[in-house]
Amino acid sequence: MDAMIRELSFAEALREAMGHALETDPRVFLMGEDIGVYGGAFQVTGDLVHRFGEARVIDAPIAELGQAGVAVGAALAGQRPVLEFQFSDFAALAMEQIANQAAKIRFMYGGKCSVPVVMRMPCGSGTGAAAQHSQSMEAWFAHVPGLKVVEPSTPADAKGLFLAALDDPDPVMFFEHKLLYKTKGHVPTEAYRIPLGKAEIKRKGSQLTIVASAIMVLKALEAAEELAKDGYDVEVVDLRTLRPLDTETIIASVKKTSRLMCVYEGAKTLGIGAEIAAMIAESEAFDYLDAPIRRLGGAECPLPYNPDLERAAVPQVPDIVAAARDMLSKRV
Amino acid sequence: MPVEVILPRVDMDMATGKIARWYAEAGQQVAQGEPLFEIETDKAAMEIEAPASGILRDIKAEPGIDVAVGSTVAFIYAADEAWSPAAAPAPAAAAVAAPVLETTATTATKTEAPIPAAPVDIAGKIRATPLARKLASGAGLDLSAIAGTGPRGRIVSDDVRAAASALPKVGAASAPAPVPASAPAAPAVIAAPPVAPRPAAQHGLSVHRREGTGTPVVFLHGFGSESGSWAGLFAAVEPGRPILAFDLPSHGRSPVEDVPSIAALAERIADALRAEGVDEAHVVAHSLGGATALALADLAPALVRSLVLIAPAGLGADIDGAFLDGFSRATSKETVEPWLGRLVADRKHLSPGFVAVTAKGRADAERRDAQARIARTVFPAGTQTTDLRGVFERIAVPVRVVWGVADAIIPWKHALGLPGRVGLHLIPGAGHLPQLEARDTVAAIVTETIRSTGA
Repeated sequence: MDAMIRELSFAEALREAMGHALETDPRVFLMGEDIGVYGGAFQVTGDLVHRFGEARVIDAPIAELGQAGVAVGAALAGQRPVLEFQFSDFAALAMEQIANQAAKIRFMYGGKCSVPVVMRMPCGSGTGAAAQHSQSMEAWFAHVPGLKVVEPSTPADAKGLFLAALDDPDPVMFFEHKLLYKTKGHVPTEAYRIPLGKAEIKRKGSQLTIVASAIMVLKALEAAEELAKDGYDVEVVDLRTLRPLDTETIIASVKKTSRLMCVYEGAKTLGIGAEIAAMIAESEAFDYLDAPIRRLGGAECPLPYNPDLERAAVPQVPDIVAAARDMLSKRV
Repeated sequence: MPVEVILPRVDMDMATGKIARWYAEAGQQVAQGEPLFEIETDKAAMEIEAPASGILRDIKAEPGIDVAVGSTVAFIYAADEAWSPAAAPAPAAAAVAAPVLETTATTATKTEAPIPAAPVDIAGKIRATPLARKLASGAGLDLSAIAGTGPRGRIVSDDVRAAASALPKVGAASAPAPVPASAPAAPAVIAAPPVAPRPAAQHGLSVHRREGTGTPVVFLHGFGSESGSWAGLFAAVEPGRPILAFDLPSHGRSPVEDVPSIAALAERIADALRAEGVDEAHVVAHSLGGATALALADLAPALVRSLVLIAPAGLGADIDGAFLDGFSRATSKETVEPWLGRLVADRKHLSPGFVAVTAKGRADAERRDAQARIARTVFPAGTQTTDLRGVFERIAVPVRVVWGVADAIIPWKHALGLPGRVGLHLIPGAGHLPQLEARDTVAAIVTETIRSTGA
């Protein structure tokens, strides 16, 4: 297959990245519920257990706090553990290890050690998995100093960001939107890294900046195309990393377009869009704003099981189009 | 005696003013000193307070209608004062410069456009965006003299640019300026937003418009595309200059029509331009639109002030017939995407959104079939049967040809052998859509071409 036109799904790209890491770095091991023989709840780990054995692809018991403790301890002892929470919602059970141990150890030991763990977080709504299996909890973790939070939108970004996350000396929360697993894209064959903390402009535009991550990038791009039919020229910034945030790229984009909309799936209040809006209001981009900043976030309720209500609870393409039209036609 | 409410003079050279809105309705109690109505001139907007307390009656000036300074616009009656609708008092003699317009005519002449409201709120603060403030201060403009078109009268950057562009240019005789003429023009930071497309009744084609003054820029898209595909290039046209981006027949939102030839397409556009009142335009055109633009320049040389042709058809025999055929029949994401891939040198330019929206746009079978018929008529058997190379010898305006060297639809070598006066830009790493793949470069070429004409 020609490397130039090779297509992989988001899940396959992640599996390739993990396979590469297992192959080249003996310190790397995977751990999580049903990631071995079953291949992972979303078939991301797939056949890795057959390729690398049960000692390096470990089916963990249902005990998230224990799993996280083992991962943090192993990382402290020089391993490079990758812990998959079957649903990111379950990471709530491991919050003590994540937020109070992993995030703080390097600070509290004066930099004498660190916790190079990657925690994989299948997140997001759209699968009918209801309130306890559908959340977008990125902002929970992005609020904790000492954690890094990554959230790719394409297969190529997933692979490059994952390998960079594994190289990072600190704990990285790696969010994978469940609806992205089957999306396809071009993925280079080599083991490349995409630096953490660097956003990417996924579509250039001159009249409005939409900042998004994960599935919302795809929705924003589709909305941008719809808006282009009306002659509107929208820029889409893919954050890729939520912490550390690439403020420079966002500021430059808003200075260019004079309008900012943040689209995110987590609850709107105190979500990632609130941070970006505040950051812009504090920045040199303030003088360039020509309209109020707009946040489109998730509804302030547990995610419904009913598919229609579930769709209504998070921003969809028509919502983005309507909000952008309001901003661009001076209705708001 | 009821108290007359007079339309006051709110700036020095004001002869008439419009009431933007009343804060009270006829029959309502009003209090002296409270805002009674909002007045708007061509330069300013402000709230006018009630001259007395009482009941508002006999409103004689509807919002949005020009009224002479000094006219009586209403009366305020004391609570116990007798009133009947038929017996409204005659206004006292005032310095009326023009007769008060009959209010009965107002409903017929009301426009749909939002009336700019006063930018000054109750607290006397001016509502303006940070960018508007920055531009105004840079241009030495007084915000209080600018009418805001944003929500609740907010002044936005476009309002400041409009005020700045009304300043006299150095050495040019023009209208009196609202501010000292020493102020420089405001810097252009963003292009003015386009207005919503509206089909023009006279010519039937759907067209995206950006209003403005000066020689307009006309955009003509390629086969299977639509006017919205140009959105990324609109910013290359300086703010204030009009833009007309047409949907070709059977494309975008234009009606389904059969197109017998490229010459017929050009005639259709020429007629549309005349119907739009355009007697001269800069033309930026792609592929099939490029051939149309060339034919237009031949058919109506006076209409075309400059030409930017991006991967134009009409310069050679070859064209990717498989693409024309396949794309004509594609209806879904899965069938559209491989063909879109052929349009670009690097698939990174194909965002999933672009694919999804293109696929959505191909859902209408009637339109799809009409486009397939156009392809079969204009490019039968994957061949370009129309040769427009001779046109270059006959036109005298600036012409630039832009081509991606990785164009897989129409070979870039068609651009060779044109007259030496024609500028040729070969773009490395771009396919058939340099306006998407090398947007900044193409935007710069468009800007330079327009600027070179001085029109």
